[in-house]
Amino acid sequence: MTSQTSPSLEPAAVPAGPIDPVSADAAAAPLQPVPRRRSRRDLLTGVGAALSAMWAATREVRAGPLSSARWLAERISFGPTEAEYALADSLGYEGYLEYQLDHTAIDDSALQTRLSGLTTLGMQPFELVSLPSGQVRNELIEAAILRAVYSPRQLYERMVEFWNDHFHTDAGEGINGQLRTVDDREVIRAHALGRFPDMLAASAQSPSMLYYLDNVTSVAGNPNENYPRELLELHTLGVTGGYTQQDVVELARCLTGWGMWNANANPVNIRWTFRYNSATHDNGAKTVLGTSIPAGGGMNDGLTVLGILMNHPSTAAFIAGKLCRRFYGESPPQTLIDAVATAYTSTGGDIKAMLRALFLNVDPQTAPIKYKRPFHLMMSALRQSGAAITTTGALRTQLQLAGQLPFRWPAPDGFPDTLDAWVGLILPRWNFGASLLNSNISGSSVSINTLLAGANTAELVMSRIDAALFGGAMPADQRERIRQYLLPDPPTDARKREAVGLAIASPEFQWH
Amino acid sequence: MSDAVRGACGCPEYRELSRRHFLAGAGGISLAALAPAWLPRVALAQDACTDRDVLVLIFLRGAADGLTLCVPHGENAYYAARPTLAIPRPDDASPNRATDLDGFFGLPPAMTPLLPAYQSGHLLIAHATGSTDASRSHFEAQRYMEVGDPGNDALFTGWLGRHLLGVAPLNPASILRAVAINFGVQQSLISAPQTIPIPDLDAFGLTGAAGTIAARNAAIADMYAAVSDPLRAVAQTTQQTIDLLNTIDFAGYTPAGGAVYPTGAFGTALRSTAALIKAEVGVEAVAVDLGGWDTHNNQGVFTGTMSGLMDQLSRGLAAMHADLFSGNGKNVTVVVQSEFGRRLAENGSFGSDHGHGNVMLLLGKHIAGGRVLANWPGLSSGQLFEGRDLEVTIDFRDILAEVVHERLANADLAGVFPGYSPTFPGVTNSCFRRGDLNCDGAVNNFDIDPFVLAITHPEAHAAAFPGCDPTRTGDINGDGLFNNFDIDPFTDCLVNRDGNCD
Repeated sequence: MTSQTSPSLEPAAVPAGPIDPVSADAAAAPLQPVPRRRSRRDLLTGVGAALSAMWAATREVRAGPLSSARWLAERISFGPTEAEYALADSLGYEGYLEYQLDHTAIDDSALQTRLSGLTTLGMQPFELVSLPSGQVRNELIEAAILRAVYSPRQLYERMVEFWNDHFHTDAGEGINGQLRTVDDREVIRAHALGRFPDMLAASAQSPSMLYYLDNVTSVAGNPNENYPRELLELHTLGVTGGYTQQDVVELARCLTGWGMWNANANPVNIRWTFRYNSATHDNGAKTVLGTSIPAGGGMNDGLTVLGILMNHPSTAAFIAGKLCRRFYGESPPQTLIDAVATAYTSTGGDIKAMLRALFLNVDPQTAPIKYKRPFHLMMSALRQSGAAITTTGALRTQLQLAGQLPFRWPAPDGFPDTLDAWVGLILPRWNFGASLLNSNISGSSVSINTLLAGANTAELVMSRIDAALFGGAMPADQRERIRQYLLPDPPTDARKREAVGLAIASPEFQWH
Repeated sequence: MSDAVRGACGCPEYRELSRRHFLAGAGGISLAALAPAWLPRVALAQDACTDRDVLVLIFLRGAADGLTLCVPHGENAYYAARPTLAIPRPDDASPNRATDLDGFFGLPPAMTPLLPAYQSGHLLIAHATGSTDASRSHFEAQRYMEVGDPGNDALFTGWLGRHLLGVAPLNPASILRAVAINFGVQQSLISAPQTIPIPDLDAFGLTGAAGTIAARNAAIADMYAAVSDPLRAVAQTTQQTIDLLNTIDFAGYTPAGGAVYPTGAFGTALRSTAALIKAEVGVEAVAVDLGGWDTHNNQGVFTGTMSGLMDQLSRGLAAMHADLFSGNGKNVTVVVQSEFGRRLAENGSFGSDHGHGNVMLLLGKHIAGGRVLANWPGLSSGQLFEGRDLEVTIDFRDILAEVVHERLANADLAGVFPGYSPTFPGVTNSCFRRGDLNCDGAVNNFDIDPFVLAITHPEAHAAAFPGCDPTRTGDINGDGLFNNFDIDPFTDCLVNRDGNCD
């Protein structure tokens, strides 16, 4: 690093605003994805392929008898409350989608009041770094829980979750415990329903990302390949998107000098913010993805490559595929992915346009159901049981036991989004329902009388459970099993609580 | 042969009995009649070479730096490329110097807890191994290794899952065949029957009011019995496993051999694994992850990140070695792998970027250890993969396939590693023993009938003991032939040498 005393020679921090599309020359460059470096063998033969097919067949579970509007409410939320179901019913499928897409028009002042005690959420890096990382991280996790449970902007919060996985950095690593709060606020939440190129540009200048993936130490002559590789593989093109090891090396050269101001920088408020350091930048000529980048480009080297990436068809296809897998199912039809990718390309990466293309091209009645990840399962139980949350320490423990404490995945690919990854560990899910209703999760409580509206027979209790937790679509046989558990009439409060716990533990509540 | 292939049954009464019977009829071919049919089959003691092993699969996630795990101190290029990361040569005065293994390779200080296992012949270090696929993506490379078919993007069952699916359970009554000590089942175990992830073996039970646990358990069982797999199977295995693990005292477990497992999640996982294996409940595979090896920055080979990880790994494995292999020991093979190695040259961040070839570790009584196995490609510029990384000269599937075939008793390698014809690199000891004509791992009077059968009716012997080659096991006098001249020496080693025909 060079002297910190002359920041005026360099921009202290380049605004993370929109990056213009790259020049016509670059856009016209031959950027077709190169053929995969290995030929795909015939996959329809062999024991392994047969097994794979058999395994895949177990995923062919179809949605239940929910109406289309209710399916949408399930699919784009952390579990619809009865009020949310009713809203979806009244607005209809497209109406409810547009309502949720126009997220800033939805009043969330009650949530903001709840969050007002979490003072670190709005702090700058230099303020956060002076606080214990555990305190900052726990406030960020608490905010994620409260937003998931209480925000009426449910689709927006689901997208925040999606992008937090996409641009994941582990809040357990060093000062990322503090910097992660800034990333969540200024990269993810700022652009979650905006334009992907804006979010990508912000991420590339996010101290959290540059620190977590070591770009802060990448210098001319000996660049660090960590962030450049994941920028290509995880953030934009995807691993099959058509880049080579040489592209990684060249991109790393382009990004040398992209880092952050350190603890000695002045003025104080620039510390731990983005810094482009020309003294450590490799200013030679480079070639990335077939595009020549002439010598002397300085910071524009990185900006040029980001422009190439955000305009690359592989990026459109990669983001589209990932969105479809999150919101439709693990094996979305190619036509659906293509429709979403086309929306990306035609709108310059507008995320709302991609979501419209997705949800207006699916048939809710044939869409596969999706297994809830642990965070989703717990948030849906809290939402749909009407839980009151005062503190979140015990909820953090529950999430940890199930393997999904937010912001704490140990690799840069974010929490997995597949059935295989989560289906095995079912016990913490069962226990969550039992513990929540048994008042064993400190700081979270369910009013059984409010939830069940005073129901005093097993039959009436089941009607309430069906309406609140299953949108009225609970299978009759499962409903009967829990009804039997409640007998004899009138059921005790303890039995009622355990019945709700069993409903949360039921197979049908694990999917959405 | 070493004690690695010592006979199975050490019970003196049985040897006494068999010797007397054998003596009574010695001298004629009619000795076959001397092993009475009613004699109960004596249960094999543990650790018979021919018994299937339990596999402990440890994956070092993040691409562990194999050039530090096992240092090629005989390579000048290694020192030239790593001015700050290289482990000093064994003859260096530095306290950080490597400990020599064979004149060319050595262990860094944080790996030296493995020396006893290495010196006992149970630890094999395989170098310059890995995947033939060039990917330097963690996620793609891990996936390819774990499905066991690099380059195959459609396959998602794991190689270990297919193995378990393809062989009969080690214990027919087993309700838990494999465990992932993890929050999810690793890709290598996908499709394995009766397999669930258990993050903490010592804390696996239903919460809520104690008085209603049985009733709630029954209700959950009913609800999940009504749905299809995978949830139905997962729920059933989970509920049965709760009962099973309740019978094992993990917290009070006392390791054998004076073993001390390191504190922390990894050491605890290995300690619990050992307790689970010793409980003999039919678990055939345990998968454990140790992450954090992606050392692009401040790698810390002497103190710091990688040193700390190596300390956990080496002390954990050393404890497992002392615990499981002391005395008669258990039939266990431990395999340690990582998705790829790291670049030869260090980067400008005192770290190393993604590379290619790497090391694998194998630990077991029947592993041909005490050495570094390598077709060493060299580290000079012309010898590097893509001009920058350690080359792969032993496909990881060759090693795993030999383990599957020799230690897990599964000959269907095409099912486990589709489309690949492995070449066994010799990571396991041969289970053939002179005099062991029925190939049960022991030389005793149960070999008399098969011995006679092999001489008189070779085809019948071949049918009765497939894969058990009498031209090797029956050549007692070592003249390269199996014939009547082997009868007297066979008698001699049974009667006078406790079955030692070597």
